[in-house]
Amino acid sequence: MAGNILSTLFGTNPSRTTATVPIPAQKTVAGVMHVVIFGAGLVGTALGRHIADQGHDVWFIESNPETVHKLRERYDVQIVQGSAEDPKVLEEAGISRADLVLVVTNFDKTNIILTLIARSLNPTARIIMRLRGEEYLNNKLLWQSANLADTVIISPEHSVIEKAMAILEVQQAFDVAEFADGAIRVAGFRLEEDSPLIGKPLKEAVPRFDRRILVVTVDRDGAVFVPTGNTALRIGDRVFVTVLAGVNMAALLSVFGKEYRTQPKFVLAPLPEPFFVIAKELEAKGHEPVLLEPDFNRCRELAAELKETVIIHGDVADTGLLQRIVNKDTIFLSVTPTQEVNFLVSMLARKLGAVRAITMMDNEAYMAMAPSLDVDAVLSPRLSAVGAILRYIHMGRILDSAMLLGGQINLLLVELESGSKLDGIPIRQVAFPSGVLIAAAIQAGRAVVPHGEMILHAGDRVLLVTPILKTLSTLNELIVQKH
Amino acid sequence: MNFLMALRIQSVIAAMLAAFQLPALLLAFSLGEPLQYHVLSFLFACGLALGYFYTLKASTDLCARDGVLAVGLGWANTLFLGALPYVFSGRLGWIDALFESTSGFTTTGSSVLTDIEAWPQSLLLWRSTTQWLGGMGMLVLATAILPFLGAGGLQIMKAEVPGPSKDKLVPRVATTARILWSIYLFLTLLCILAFHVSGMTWLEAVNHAFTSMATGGFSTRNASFGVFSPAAQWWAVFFMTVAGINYVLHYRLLLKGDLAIHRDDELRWYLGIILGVGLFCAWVAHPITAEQDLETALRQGLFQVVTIITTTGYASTDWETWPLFAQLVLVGVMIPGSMAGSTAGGIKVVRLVIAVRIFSTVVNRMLMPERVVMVKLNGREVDRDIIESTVALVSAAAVAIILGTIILVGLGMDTGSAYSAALTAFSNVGPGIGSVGPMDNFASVHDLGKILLAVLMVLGRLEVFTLIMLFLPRFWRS
Repeated sequence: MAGNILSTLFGTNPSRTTATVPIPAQKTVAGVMHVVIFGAGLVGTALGRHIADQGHDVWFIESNPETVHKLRERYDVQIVQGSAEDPKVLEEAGISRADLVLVVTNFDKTNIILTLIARSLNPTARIIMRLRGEEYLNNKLLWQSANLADTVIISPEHSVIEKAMAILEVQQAFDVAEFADGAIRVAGFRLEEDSPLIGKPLKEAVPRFDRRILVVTVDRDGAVFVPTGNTALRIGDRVFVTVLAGVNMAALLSVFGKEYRTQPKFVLAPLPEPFFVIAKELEAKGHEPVLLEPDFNRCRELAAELKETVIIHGDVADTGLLQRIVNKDTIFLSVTPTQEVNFLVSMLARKLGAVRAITMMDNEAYMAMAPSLDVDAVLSPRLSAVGAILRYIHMGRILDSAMLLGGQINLLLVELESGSKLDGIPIRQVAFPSGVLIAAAIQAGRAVVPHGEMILHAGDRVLLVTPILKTLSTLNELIVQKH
Repeated sequence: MNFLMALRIQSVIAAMLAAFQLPALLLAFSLGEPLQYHVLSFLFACGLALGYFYTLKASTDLCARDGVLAVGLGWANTLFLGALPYVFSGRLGWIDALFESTSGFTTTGSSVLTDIEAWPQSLLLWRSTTQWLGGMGMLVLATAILPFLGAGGLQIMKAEVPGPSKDKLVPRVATTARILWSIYLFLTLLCILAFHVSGMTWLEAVNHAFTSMATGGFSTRNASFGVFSPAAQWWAVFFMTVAGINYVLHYRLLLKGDLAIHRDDELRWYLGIILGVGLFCAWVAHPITAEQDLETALRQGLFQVVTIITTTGYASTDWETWPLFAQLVLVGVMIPGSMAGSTAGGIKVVRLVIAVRIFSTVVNRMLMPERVVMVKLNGREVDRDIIESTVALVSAAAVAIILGTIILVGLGMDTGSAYSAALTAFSNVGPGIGSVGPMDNFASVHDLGKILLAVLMVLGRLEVFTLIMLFLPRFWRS
């Protein structure tokens, strides 16, 4: 499982990894939170927008005047222009009154210093810090020190690695979100011509396959909806299904008209430092990935570190070279720091016959273009980070969260309270807000796909699917005790 | 362009104007005055408000252009609905009614009514209400109460709130608009109390508080503030001065207890001009004699200066009897008006400060080309786009006033009156000098002249750019 290796890599304290962070016992705030965000980069901006959409007060601290100007025009947030180290600027942003502080500049050192400053000015706020360097993540003594002990760490790169591993495992999905250490996955597939699901109402088509699969959401040319038993699917629909661990992948993929490769050949474009783990994990699963690397010295380092991986000294955009490596069983992955390079080499790999291309990019326009240009799956550090942080924005009741379809769908893992609307009643009889449904439940430690007659109880965990525009508070009554 | 949302905002504005017709309606009912024109205006506005249901599918995305569209339509809509009671009463024709409505909502205070005291009290209350609503702005009010605007509200605030930089008080636009209106309401209530305590009837206190806090200047008396007690006049001086102060400073003082606001550059200039020019006028125009003590001299001097610089436009004495020099000084302070982000008009003191500092940087650079010069305000460098928009607005104001003067002279006014009329309209003050002086009115102005002045008022209230944009072909090209 992705989580296991990652947690050994990123320190043994499991609360430090993104996958399984328990909610720290700090103040949970009802109503409007005062949120201070350091750094208005891609991650910070995306977070700020989503937090503001949930009705909270967002204060950015940003020194670049052009970024400030752009933010001010576009989002309903307040921006304090100046250096985040300047006490006056910090005071203006109300750091001492903040309920939540996000430290998400692009630099680890800066983030650590800013976290220390923020903590000294505000001992009670929940502070979330972004880090990428393993040298910090692995330093256990650092995280036990008084000023950093209560900091939640997120690593967008780390989230990307998890997602990449999940997608590589499901092979043909264009997006996968994992919950409960992989016991539940929500995976998205594009329906191919020979899928048996096409043209029939779901209630007739669905019993044909495993009870462990549930269709939760459909994206038809950008219109996202929850299917009913009477919905008939079409070619090209992008459907999200709940997949429980242990399902037969080959059988699952055939349902969507896709073929499962038992011996996939993973070809990896150069892996920059944080993503190097991907090769290691693939090795751990018994694969022999091929890794291209243009820098000879780096090649030697990698060769020393990796056992099974075939390391090729060469340029990923070298068509002749790529042609010799890529075949019809190839699953191609490109996570270089330059998204344009990722995009182009992925298209190239597909052209040369690769069955799948998975690419890291953050630009919204590129992400929208990707499916029509044969780039099958997109990894977005920005959206991964937002998904990972969502749970801290609301009440502290969300155990885990993820975003799909560029943020149009939220997945929230929550625990039911006694006396909530869902407690003790067959699901069929519960009135859900529109667009919301249960993708999966965990009862007595066992993941199950819900059905109409099923009765949930307090203490059960449910995975809710909800459209992004639905503010989280409308979900409250489903999961929280009625007053 | 998001037309549907712009229309939706119009229906909300119509609903608000229908609601604000009710106090006048109730007053007419309790005084036994005719009801029908208020009822008709109310029903008309309600009819427009029903358009809301046509726009339910509107997207909430608003770009800068949509903000301008919403504000432009909003003003047309407001001015039209504001004129209805006058027209339905049969007392004014369309042009006069629209002039009065425009003068109201732009908080100018120029009037075509000749004998104000002969008018029904309910219509006068409506007239004061238009100024009060226009003071903080109908669209800002709409932003405050519409939950669906989100970041789009910023575009509307930017197009309607005067001043070179539009900073939000708090992260959310809607909350900012709510805070602004709450402070405005709070100060208005204080003002009503103060006026009532110093001898006005409740109705007079409400009318005059509405038009003081809006820096509008409509009075319900022919002799304006001249008939009220010295105490009421002093209170008016205080509340007009307060109304001319940037609401960001009110917010910092009232809600944050921040006493450092006295260090604000613009506030110092604003109060400095008031004191300086006020004392000067008192000294020049009101020599201390047997029947005129120091208090009267100070009060008359300060009242006229404050009423002009805050662009309110009451009068407590006929200052056309002042020496010509003092009169021209008064006309001179119409140009800066009050502070940015207040309810007042004019090109705003802060722009004057910036203009002066631009001038000084140019001079400094010419004296010593190697010297690094920078336009600063409150110790910070002024952004380049603010400098540009300041220069553009000051030039546009000069052009508008000069063109206005020329056209008014062409329509038969004398030069002095024409110039003061164009300036007073653009700066949203109210009275001018000559044939449109503080004790005269605008009834005698040519119909075309009234239309021109109404356009100048809106141009001044929306600070030129918002209105001009609507008439540019490239605005409508997608």
